[in-house]
Amino acid sequence: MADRTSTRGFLARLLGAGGARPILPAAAPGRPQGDPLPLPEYAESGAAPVPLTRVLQADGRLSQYPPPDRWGDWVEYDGKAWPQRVARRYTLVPTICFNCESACGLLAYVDRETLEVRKFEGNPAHPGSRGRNCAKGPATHNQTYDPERILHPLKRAGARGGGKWVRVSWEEALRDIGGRMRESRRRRRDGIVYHVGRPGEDHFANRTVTAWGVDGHNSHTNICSSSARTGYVLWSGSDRPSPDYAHARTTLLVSSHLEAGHYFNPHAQRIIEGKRDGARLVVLDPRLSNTASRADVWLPTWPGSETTVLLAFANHLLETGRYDRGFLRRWVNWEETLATAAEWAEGEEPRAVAAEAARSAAEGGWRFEDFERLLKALYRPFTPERAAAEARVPADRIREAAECVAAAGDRLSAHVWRAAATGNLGGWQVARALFLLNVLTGSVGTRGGTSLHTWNKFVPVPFSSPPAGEAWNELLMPLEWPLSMFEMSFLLPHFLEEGRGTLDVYFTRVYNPVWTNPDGFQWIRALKDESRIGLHVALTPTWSETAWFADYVLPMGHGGERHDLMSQETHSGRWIGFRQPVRRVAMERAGRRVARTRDANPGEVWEESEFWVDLAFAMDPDGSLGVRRWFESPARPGEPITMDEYFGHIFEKSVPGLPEAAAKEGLTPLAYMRKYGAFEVSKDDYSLHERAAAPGKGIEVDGERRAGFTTPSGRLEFMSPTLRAWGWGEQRHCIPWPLESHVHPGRIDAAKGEMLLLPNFRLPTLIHTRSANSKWLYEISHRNPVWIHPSDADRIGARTGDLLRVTTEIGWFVDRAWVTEGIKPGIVAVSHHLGRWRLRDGDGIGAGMSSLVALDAEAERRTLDVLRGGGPWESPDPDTSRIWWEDVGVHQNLTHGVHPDPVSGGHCWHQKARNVERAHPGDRLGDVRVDGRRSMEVYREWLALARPARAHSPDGTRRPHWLPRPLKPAASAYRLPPLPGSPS
Amino acid sequence: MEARTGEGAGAAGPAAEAEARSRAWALLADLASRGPVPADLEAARLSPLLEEALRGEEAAAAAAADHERVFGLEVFPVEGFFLDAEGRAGGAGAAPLEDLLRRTGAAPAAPGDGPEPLATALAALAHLSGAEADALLDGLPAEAGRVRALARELLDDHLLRWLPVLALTARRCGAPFPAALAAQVEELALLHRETLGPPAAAAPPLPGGDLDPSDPETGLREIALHLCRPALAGIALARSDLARISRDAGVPRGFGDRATETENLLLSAASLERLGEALGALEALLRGAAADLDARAAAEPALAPFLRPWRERADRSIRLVLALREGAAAAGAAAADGSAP
Repeated sequence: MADRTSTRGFLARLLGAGGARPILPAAAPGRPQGDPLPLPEYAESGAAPVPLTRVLQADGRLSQYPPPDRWGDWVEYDGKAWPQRVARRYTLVPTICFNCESACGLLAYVDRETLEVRKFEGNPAHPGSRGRNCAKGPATHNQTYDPERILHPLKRAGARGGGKWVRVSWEEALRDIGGRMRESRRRRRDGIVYHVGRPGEDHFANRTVTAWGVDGHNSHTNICSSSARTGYVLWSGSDRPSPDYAHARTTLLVSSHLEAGHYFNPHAQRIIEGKRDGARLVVLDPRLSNTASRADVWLPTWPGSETTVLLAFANHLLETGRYDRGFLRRWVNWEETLATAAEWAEGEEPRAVAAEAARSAAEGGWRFEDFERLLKALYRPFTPERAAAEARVPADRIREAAECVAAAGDRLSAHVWRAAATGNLGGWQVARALFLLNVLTGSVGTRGGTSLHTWNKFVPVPFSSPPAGEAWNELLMPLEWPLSMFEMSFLLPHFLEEGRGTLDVYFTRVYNPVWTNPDGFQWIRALKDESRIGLHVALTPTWSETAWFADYVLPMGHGGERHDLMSQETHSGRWIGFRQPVRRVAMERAGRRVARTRDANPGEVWEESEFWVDLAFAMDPDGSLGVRRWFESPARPGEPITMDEYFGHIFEKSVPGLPEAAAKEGLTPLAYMRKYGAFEVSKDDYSLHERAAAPGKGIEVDGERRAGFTTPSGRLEFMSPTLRAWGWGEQRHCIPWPLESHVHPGRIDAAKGEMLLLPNFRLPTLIHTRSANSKWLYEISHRNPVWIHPSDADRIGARTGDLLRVTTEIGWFVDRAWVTEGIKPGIVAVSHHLGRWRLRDGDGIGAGMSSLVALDAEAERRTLDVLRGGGPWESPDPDTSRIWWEDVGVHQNLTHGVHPDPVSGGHCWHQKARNVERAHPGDRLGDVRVDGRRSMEVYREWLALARPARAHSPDGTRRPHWLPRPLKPAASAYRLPPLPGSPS
Repeated sequence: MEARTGEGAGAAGPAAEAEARSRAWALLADLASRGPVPADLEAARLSPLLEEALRGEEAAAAAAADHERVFGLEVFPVEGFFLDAEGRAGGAGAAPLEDLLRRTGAAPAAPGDGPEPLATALAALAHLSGAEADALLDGLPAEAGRVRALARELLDDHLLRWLPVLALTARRCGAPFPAALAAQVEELALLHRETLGPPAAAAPPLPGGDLDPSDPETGLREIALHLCRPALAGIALARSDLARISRDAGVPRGFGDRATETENLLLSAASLERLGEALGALEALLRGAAADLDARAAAEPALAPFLRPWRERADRSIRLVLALREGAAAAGAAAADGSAP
């Protein structure tokens, strides 16, 4: 028998403790009787439970939220104290997530006692996200309380890039930067540039740059969506689609990027709804992404073959007669197409049809039947077998997918954003071919089809708008790419290296080109050169590799720390969201006056909107430049406008229905938006091209004026007259047609060990360059191994976890192998959203999220050597001492040569891997080498592909005036500049 | 005459022992029900077993969370979970237990909880021990004998039949407090049982029949359900057990209740051609559990009769898994040589 001394002792001590025998309930204690736990004195411990707002989501799930009428004073138990019941009292402030472009609604739980933001949850009043968020939304809390965040304005103390900083006041920073801007603006109109990474707001910055009177807007678009935009804009005048996934019969996605990254949350939830109702999901992606894994048909296409596959779908529609004749006849520029076909059509049959159509036209006008014949003749060669051979997928799978497209009828939702479009030379034709399927099925603007983003994005109007400038900045929009979408921003350092110009004041705003862009060493060299960039101001909520090379690092707020407006095309409807500094709002609800948002944010963290106002006053203190007046209060001339005035005016004057909705609740429009954070302007916005138009407006269709599209013809342009006029008149360019990618199989010699490097995918839990400030997100995903197929791994003798050296055309990097059948043979895939680094411990990016590296960007042979991977570090946040990972990924973008597409201007991300091999002795995870000479050579090779405006402009302008630009200068600025040496 | 409750509490003797047991059972009932709430911490720390798991403020908070996790998600301290053929409360065994509790004068009070939660049995034992102490102090040996018989019945026919398996499972879950609490309850049950006469010679058999893997009606769902019913499988399969198998075999198990996770695990193992690995990990788990039962029976002979039925069921499950492994291996070989249809 066991000795029970221990338990006997326990009994003796228990008895010895004295007191009365506990009074037991009649029997089972069940759940707690009484509550012995202490409650905070500020909690409503005796409050009755409040019925929650129950929202039946469209996919059938039920969600519950605090009712909006209790948001001002909400009590709930603290989840962190679980399982003990500790009540907390909050004021709930809606805001907008800042971590991708979706602009989902968040609800900040601000502790009424301490004004701490305890958590962010979903805002059920938001029409786009409908109360739901992805992992990135709640992680705003990590960003807010990141121990590494920048809390005060910093000014460089030593050499640029030397890492020495002194704290300065906002006033001092404004005075210095404003003075430098004033000086530049007096001399020229192209010396100040605002370079935006994550826009995350809808106009304030653009209005500001316009007010400066310079051509100075630079975006990240051409490392992102240029090519997709080009494809869509040439078709419709609108540069991106708005699929109505929830009502689709078939959803066709080219890659997972969109649903795994960009509009992940609002789109993913609607795709799921569509699937629940029976929609089929077809995904083209060489990689088994999250989205591909949920597809009914997954086509792991070889990169660059996507256009051919899509045209095989088109051929299937044409050959089986399942296309919408009525829609084509009404809305496609078929007459213009037939009228020019003889000049561009290639191949015996198309040319014969074109000739016959011309003969018929001479007798009695253009016939739609000839257009149908032409389409069939053009696309007949795109058989499933041809597509299968190019894509390296079974022909039956192509047929199955084509049948899904055909079965969709006019309910085909389709989208491409980055992926194949930004991966390949000529990737803009992927978007052209994809939208062709919408056009053929008549699913443009239909319920369950694909609308244009301009129909589903609400654009408010501020109280005044400065006029377009007359300047043209050649460093942003050079003559070589007259059709680019938009600025050639990723080539800025190469242009500077060539001596094309200089910048006086350069703002990078939530932008990290050193890390994000290809050929980052070139950026480091440019940023360090004070003769080329006079002043670099980094506006950023977090440390970044680029901020390290700034003169000023100015801390800007995260999603809960700033005023912005946002609207996105998340579905068939329009809404407007209001981002708010939640602590400021909470303080104001408590009756405390807050003059500037920086007085409410952590440290001296500010927001851009107020900063821009004060900077305008610093730049133009006496108003003589004409800048300041755009930032003065209309009610108090000469004084800076407040955020309440600015946004209050917009809500009152330019958001239809909002004043009435507010009045019903006895609120002003501003108070309504501060309470709910979002407003639905309209819903079920379908087929807006069919709206009746006034005489002189729109276009005539079947004898009636209709709104139409914003192309030059007012119709959907199958044959692009713009491309033809600007030097791209060949059949392969002017109609949807495959272009040979720079990573076409014919350009990759597998026998030599060459492979295709696919870098342009992200993980749905990451936030570009701000993930490293979100500990929860980094714990989920922090490394970017090399996806490699088992057959390739066997060939080089690698196993999962082995170090590989991947050699590109300008250098090499070392990363770990991940052997998986989730990638096609012949391709290696490495996500380019990881691999952060810092140059010094204690400054810059957190030690758990970045590698400590040694860097040499000066020599011809440029190097980044990893000294130490990630690891725990001491900080006020105890979690930083619990970092359990070391591998924080590899910064592969440094080894990517720049690949500007000659039409869209977008960087073509795919790389030819000249070799993928086991690492060499001495190679360390994350090591990078780049040949600086070769990087400029690659730039020049791609530059040579361009067709400059000087040689191809049909009308003496730099760029077609109808094409969008974020900030369109006045028409006079479009005139080609005189040749050097010629009379002006 | 010994002192009644609270008076001369430190005195030795059968009444004081019963009084001490009553207090200990009451405390353990409270801990089983609510976890280590602040009001109970001081008393709980008088137990060396519990003190180690509750040392320091942070440990108490962690223990509270572990308590919720282990007894709310991993293994359910409810008699029906262990002794019912379908692993459910409210089955055939609930009525006799309720009747017994009613006879003790400690019928379950909380509506909906039923008679089966561990805390209910412990509260009843506290009540019986207190009644025994009072009877002894009042010189009522017959009454003392009556309540002792009721306590013996509660222990032999109910609690001791499943408590050792609960304790072993809690230990396997790796959380200090739940494991310590279950161990302390078991220790006190054995100590209490020693005062109630000769140990039980045998325990009633466990309910439920065998599963025939060769039956065409036996699919993965049936196998999963069988494995997740402790009385059938001879083991209480916790979620952390499933997580371990999933990790060892390198296959996902998805989300859902334990049976769904088990089915997912087997299904994904089959589709990823890792069924052999998954079944191997499951077999290792079962063999480990069987070894634990043997070790416990050897260390505590009084528990041996109660553990024997579990050991038999564990053996049966091992045989089931071996049969499945053989089937999987044969199917794999057939696929490899092309003879599979």
